[in-house]
Amino acid sequence: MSTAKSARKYVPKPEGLNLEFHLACLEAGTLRIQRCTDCGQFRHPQRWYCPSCHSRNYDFAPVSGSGRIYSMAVNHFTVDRGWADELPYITAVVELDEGPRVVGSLRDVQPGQAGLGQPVRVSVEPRGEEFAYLWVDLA
Amino acid sequence: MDISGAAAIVGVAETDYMRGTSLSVPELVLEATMAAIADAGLDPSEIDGILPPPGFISSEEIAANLGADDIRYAVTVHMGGASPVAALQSATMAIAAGIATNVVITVGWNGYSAMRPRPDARPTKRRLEPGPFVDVSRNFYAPYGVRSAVQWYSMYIQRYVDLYDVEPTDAAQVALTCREHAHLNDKALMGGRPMTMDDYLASPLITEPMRKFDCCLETDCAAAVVLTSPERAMDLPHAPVLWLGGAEGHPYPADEITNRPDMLKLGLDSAAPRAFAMAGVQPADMDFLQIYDCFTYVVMMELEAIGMCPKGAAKEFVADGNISLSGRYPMNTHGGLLSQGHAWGLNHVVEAARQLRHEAGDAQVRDAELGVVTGYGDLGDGSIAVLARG
Ligand SMILES: [Zn+2]
Repeated sequence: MSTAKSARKYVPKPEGLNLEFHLACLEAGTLRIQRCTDCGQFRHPQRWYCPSCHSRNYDFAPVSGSGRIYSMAVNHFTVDRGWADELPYITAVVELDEGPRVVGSLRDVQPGQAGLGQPVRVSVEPRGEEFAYLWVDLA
Repeated sequence: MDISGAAAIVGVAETDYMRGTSLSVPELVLEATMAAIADAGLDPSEIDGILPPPGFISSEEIAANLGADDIRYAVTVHMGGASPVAALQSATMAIAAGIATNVVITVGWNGYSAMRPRPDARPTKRRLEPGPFVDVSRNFYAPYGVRSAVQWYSMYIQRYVDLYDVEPTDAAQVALTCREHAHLNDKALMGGRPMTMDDYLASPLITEPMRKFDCCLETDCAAAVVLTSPERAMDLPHAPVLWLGGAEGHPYPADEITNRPDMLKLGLDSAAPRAFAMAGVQPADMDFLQIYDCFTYVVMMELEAIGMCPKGAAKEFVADGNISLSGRYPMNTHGGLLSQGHAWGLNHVVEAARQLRHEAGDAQVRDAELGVVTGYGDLGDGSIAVLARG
């Protein structure tokens, strides 16, 4: 874990549609994903138009949070001082059961202990008022 | 409109490849630009098209240094490391359409010194512009400690090595070959510094599966090339290097890696067939390959994307000396980004031109008539040019 001396982790200041996503997740306390309310297709990251039917109508719909590791960055080196104390750390790309993929931090797992395809769960944790941090845990 | 062969590279230049310099990036860019124009046998004021790098110096500022008072075409390509080779296409289009006559493409940067300024270095506001994907990367990747190229690309390289059982000793062939070729190049940063398989395997992991020696060199440098029409090229000092065909390609969506339907499909997968069709030649016809080598595993994916071998077969393609100077497909004969230096792949274009002029010295591929150059950048954008001795 980070020590008091170490640099802080970067927390973005979301705007526009991206802010709407974070606020929706924070309000619900669980993962929400942008969904076209005309054709029903999920999309992530957020886009103004549905790339399938070109509708501008959307909501942020609940998803199960369960999925599988689609890929990952297994980091043994970082230029980010906020992450230096965490090495090695794993950033997971999770394919949700509903289809879209999200990026989050795979916690309590060492390199070599997790592989592609492994079932996981995604949860959200507030970082300030406007950013929902995504945690990934082995299911 | 058929633009195959509508332009030729007639001048090339590169600065030294340095790790630390007192020269500013604009000075490096202008040094390379002036030298490339001189190599072409042109007067700087004859330049009427400029494709500058994304950042550090504008086409306007370059023109003012050249005394080029009638610029007709100025555009910056925003494809990261794929920009210089895509710029060849843009320059050829301008020349073929009669928009411009003598076009210079240049890049330069402080890839080493930006992170390690000399104690006596004066601060500068000039910097590389952020890539077009910056909004996605800072909102979706950076919060999770993923904020450099090796980390972004690992998201698809992990799947690549998993799907095709690619081993570190396979990727090592790319690193070791580039290092061997660097010994033949006076300007190569790693010339005279041998690398063995043991050295490679002992180099530390950066982001799995990439080790330090899978990664290109952070470099301070600049390069430039000049293009003109093939007719005009006949009056200039060097054998013209014809742009036979080229293309750019973008993965979808280009600004976000993880939600691509097929994460292993690069921009080069769609660009390469277009380029070879335009050029009217086959990948197997190539006398040499200059492949954008930011990372060894990316080279393997590019070799498959341009059709040198089937998907998953790059590990066999790079084995047994096939890509060494004495092999069938000599690759990165200058040492590449891995062992010469990192000029955004414009050094690959410079080397391709030298090969086709038969001026590549100890690294010369005998009787080279036809070669391919690739570019790769941002989050998987690709560019390609098929070049021929005119
Ligand atoms: Zn829709």
